[in-house]
Amino acid sequence: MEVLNEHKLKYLNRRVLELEELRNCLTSNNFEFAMMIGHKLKGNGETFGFPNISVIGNLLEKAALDKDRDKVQENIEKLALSVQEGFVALS
Amino acid sequence: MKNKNLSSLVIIDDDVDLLELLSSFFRQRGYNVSTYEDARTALADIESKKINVDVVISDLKLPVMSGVEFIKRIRTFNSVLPIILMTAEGSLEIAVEAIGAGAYDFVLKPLHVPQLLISVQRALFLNQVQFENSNLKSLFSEQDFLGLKGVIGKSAGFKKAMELAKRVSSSQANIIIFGESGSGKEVVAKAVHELGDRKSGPFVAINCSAIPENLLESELFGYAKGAFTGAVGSKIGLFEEANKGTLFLDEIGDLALPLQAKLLRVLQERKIKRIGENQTRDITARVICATHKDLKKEVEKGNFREDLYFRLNVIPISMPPLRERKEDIIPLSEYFLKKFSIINNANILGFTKQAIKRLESLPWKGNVRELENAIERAVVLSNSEYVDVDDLPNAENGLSELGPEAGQNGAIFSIYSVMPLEEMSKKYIDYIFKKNGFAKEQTAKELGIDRKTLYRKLKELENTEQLTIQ
Repeated sequence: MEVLNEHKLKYLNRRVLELEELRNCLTSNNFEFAMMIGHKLKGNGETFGFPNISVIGNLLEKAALDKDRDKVQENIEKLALSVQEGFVALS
Repeated sequence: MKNKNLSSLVIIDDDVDLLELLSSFFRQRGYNVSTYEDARTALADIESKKINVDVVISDLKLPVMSGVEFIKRIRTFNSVLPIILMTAEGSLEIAVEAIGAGAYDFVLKPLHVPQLLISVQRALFLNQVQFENSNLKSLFSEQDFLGLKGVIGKSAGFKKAMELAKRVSSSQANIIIFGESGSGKEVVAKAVHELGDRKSGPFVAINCSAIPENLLESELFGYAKGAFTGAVGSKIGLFEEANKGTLFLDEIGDLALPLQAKLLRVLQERKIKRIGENQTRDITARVICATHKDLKKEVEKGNFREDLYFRLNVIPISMPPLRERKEDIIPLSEYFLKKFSIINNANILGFTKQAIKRLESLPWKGNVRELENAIERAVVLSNSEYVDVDDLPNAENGLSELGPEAGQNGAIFSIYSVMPLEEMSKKYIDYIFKKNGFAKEQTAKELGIDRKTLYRKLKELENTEQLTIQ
């Protein structure tokens, strides 16, 4: 199934807002939030045509579960890059 | 599968992106979709029937109430609603737990949406099969009058006829059933058969008015090979076919006099001879006759043998017309509604109040048969879950009375119209003649007859003053 660009754009825009919250949660060591977002991205990235985001979501969830701050940060930045690439691909 | 309403889906997921995507995907494919971010609200709406639902798609991991807990709660009041669980946790244990709790299917995230669509379609099919199955079960498990299936009625007249049928079922006395066309004479005959000790034998019915005299004789008595031109083999007749069972001779009042004599002999001697054979054969079938005619008057007119009348009239049973047993109209209508809903795969749940009023007020000149036809038509034409007054015949126009141009949907004759073939033929010619602006050539062409035949028919119409324009 080809997901409409309109849905993809909306999806990426929501990720932009989440990225900001994810960075904030790191400063407060809120791994619960990162785990929840990671789980969600693992489940929906590929469905929207962004398989990378599903992979990153999986890694983010695991890192947050382990409370591995560095890996959480690493995956947040990977997510930011993937979102950026997503916008480029749609433009 | 015929489903008059769009299928309704409930989708539950706290992932707003997926909720929007799935909602848009299924709506584009004609589904009614209700979305929820939490299972508790969805559960409350489903339980209170605030929303229609045919299939639920729910995430497993949800805030407040998990997908598995949701299924368990649903199953306390609905054991059949298909629920498809989605999860990003691909473990076998979770899948087993979900299916064990009553999930219909289990799909993994990231979702492959077309795969989910297939799962939904299969769940809907299952739903339909379950619906039909439960309808069939209820239709065939209904304890109708005297425990006989399809014998519906609670009016005094109906009960009297059926109770008499029960009383005489185990006797060997001849029975004749009187009643208007379509009033259910065959139902009474079948009840006598089913309630008596011949129920394991065959029930063979024949309408004596529907078959030409010479053909009827060979149907009833059978014939030997070479008995007449075209008798290339021997054939057993209905008297023999009904051995150890019941032979139901409907419209006995229309039986030709020569055959009446033969029938009388059979009833007296309990023996028959096949046409073209000398050998006599014993018959053990019980004969039940029925007619819409007043046989006493037919005897007076010389149309019916008096000796046969007395022979048959041992136990007369009268089935009153439907207009004299109005209490039976709604139970019968409900029975036919169920029956035709199943046959037509239509999800019709009942009648509106106005429709019930209309059903009770119509004269039903064609009796139960007309009612049955009307309900079948209503089920086929109805656009909603309830048959409405517009789906039924019109009391004021009296559809039973209508002729040309009265039918609906472009039909020239109403399906409720019961009239002799000759009269119908005349009305049809008149209708086509009028339609063609009285152009004879065009009328003949449209009727598929030559001009000479048309002139003759028009002349006949003139003589009977049925022609619209002389």
